Amino acid sequence: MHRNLELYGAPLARFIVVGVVIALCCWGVYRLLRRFRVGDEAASGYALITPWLLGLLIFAAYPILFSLVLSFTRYSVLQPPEFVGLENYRRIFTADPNFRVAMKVTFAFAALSVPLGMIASLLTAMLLNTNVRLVGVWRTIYYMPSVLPAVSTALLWRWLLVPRGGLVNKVLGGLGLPEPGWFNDPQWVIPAFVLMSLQGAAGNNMVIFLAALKGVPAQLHEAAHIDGAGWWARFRHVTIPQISPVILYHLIMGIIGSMQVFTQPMFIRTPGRSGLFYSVHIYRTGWEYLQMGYACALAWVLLIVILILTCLVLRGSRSLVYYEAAK
Amino acid sequence: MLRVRALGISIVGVVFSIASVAAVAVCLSGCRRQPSGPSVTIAVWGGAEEIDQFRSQVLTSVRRQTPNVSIEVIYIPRDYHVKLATLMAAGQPPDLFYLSDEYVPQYAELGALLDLTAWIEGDDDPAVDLEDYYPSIVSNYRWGGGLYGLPWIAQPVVVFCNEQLFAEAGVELPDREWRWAEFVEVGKRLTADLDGDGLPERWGFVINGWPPFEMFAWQNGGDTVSADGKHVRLLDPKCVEAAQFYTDLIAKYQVAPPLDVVTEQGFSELFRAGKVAMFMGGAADELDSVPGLNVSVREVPTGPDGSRATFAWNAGLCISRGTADKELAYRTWKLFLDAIQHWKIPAPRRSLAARLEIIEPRKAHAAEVIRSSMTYMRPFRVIARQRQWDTIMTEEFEEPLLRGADDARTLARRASPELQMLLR
Repeated sequence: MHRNLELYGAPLARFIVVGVVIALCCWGVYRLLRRFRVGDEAASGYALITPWLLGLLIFAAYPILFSLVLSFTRYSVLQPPEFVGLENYRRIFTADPNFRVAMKVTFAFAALSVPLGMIASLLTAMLLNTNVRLVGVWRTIYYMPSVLPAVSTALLWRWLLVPRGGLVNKVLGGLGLPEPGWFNDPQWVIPAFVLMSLQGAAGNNMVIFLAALKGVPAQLHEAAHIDGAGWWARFRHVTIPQISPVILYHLIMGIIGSMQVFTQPMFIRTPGRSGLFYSVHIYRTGWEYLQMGYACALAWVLLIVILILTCLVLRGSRSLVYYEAAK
Repeated sequence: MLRVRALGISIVGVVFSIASVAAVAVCLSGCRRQPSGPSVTIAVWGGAEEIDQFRSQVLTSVRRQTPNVSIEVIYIPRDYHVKLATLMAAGQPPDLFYLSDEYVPQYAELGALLDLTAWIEGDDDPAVDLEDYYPSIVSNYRWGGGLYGLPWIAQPVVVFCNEQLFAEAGVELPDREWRWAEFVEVGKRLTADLDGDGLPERWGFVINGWPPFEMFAWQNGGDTVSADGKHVRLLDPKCVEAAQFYTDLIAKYQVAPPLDVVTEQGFSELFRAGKVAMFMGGAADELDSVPGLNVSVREVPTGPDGSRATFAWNAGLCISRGTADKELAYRTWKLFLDAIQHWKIPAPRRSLAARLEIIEPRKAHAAEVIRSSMTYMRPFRVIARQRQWDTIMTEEFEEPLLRGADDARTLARRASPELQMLLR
């Protein structure tokens, strides 16, 4: 007993202190808010979310801001950071051939995977929005692949897209179509990753589209039908406008997600730099080459690119998205 | 007054419940034994089986010799160097750690490694007798005049030959004098179209970036980097010639399968499946003990003029410069180094290479070939930015070369400027 206390006493005491500090923070927040005449219920609420807020500040906000600071330094991970001003940013745009390659690869992937993914999600959702028997079972079956771990699906797709003898090429060959080299051919690497990404079409995106389709008022369809609108006209002039906020949401989230794709290219070897996605470039630079300051600068450039794209999409969508609440 | 009215519970109670749960959870997940006496931590890589062997053959031996020292082993099965760097960044570097030679210059330059020169100079322990080590391997642990570790393994590349396939093709196993031309000739005779569809199903050899192109360059009298380490020599005619030979094994001589076949069917799996007759692998590889295969081990072919060279992957044991008790770390480092060298083969010490078959009886049949290969083995000429060098070499030169994207000279011309930037 005494020996256990000797061995584990110090760390145990440290952790108890941390726990007590968190508790005191909660208490302090409550007292502070009450002093500023915040209501008892609201003050209690803020006090109770204080641990979560602390976690957000310490484990998310602080690292994000610290990475911004590091982006202005030369930081090898093994040595303290050394301030270099804008040198890392200058290097990105003038002396890093991989930056351009990674941007090109990532943009090409995003340009193909985002619209195709949205179309596939919407079509799947429409399919599962029909009145067929056992629709709940079908929805579950369609959703299931999206809960598989990304690494295992990456390996599965690697196997499906084997040029000689892979299932996809066997089907293509059987139909008399050309059999691409997929991950072995630099020209087909991006289409192969796009094809992989479509698996996610039947996941969360599909569920959100399904919910949006369910929310389209039936009377609008009926009115259009009475006016002689066919299936396509109703889809084009009723469904699409009604679900346009969800389409915008998917577009923005799709752009963000596709610009940050990482797991699949990390686990699938591709010829040369044909599969050098931007996030992989950041990871390599930071952890393999130990140039963490430069990797942070790359990450902030990505953030700015995503921000610009998002702003452009939001600006361009003003006249295209229909908000019921705004009418 | 301190009540969440809707729930009717005391805020004080909630706050302290959260604190208690957090404290207990963190305790349960994060408690780490704090040793009271002298202690040493060592970081090692390896899968489950290797780690079991490390425990039984290395750790037990070291603990027996240092009963008063508490030894903590940090097993890192994957992403070893990322985790090692993270430990260092967090200010908790292990006292001792494995490091493959390609990382030594970078870690040394960044001040993460303890310079062992002074420690070793006055030490007559056989484990640190530099005369006993193969100098070509030790040279990669030197940087800027310091010595930052010693290797515990150096695996020369040797050729594993499937005797049954040789016999079926009526080809004799090569002797140690064979040259590139004979290697190609043997490869051609071993390559066979078994089903008559015009495409081979069995090959003489297999290549996918391994063995490294550099080995062929050395055999041809070339090198990718100048002796002073300041200039890229990829465009040197000897290098270009070797690179062309390297890719011709697939495209021109057709003694090795195309890359997509290797990707689909697996690299060493082709040899294990009896679809490839000769495989160049590390001396410690267990391809000579695959059930159902009768495998002989031979030396790699010599260059066109008989020059001998083989690549040697190697790894060493280093000490963190930030270790608290350097004397203790050095003493334990020697014990670990010696114990690992008596476990792993081939150790890069002549005295241990001489006893290779005693240390590992399963390699007795190949011991002479391995010993002979060790006399001319070479590691890469490593630089501080070796990881970047490797990436560029693979992505911009070797891989497109083997894929037949362009000829050797064009690819060498394309890759050289970027490689040269790393040597600045």
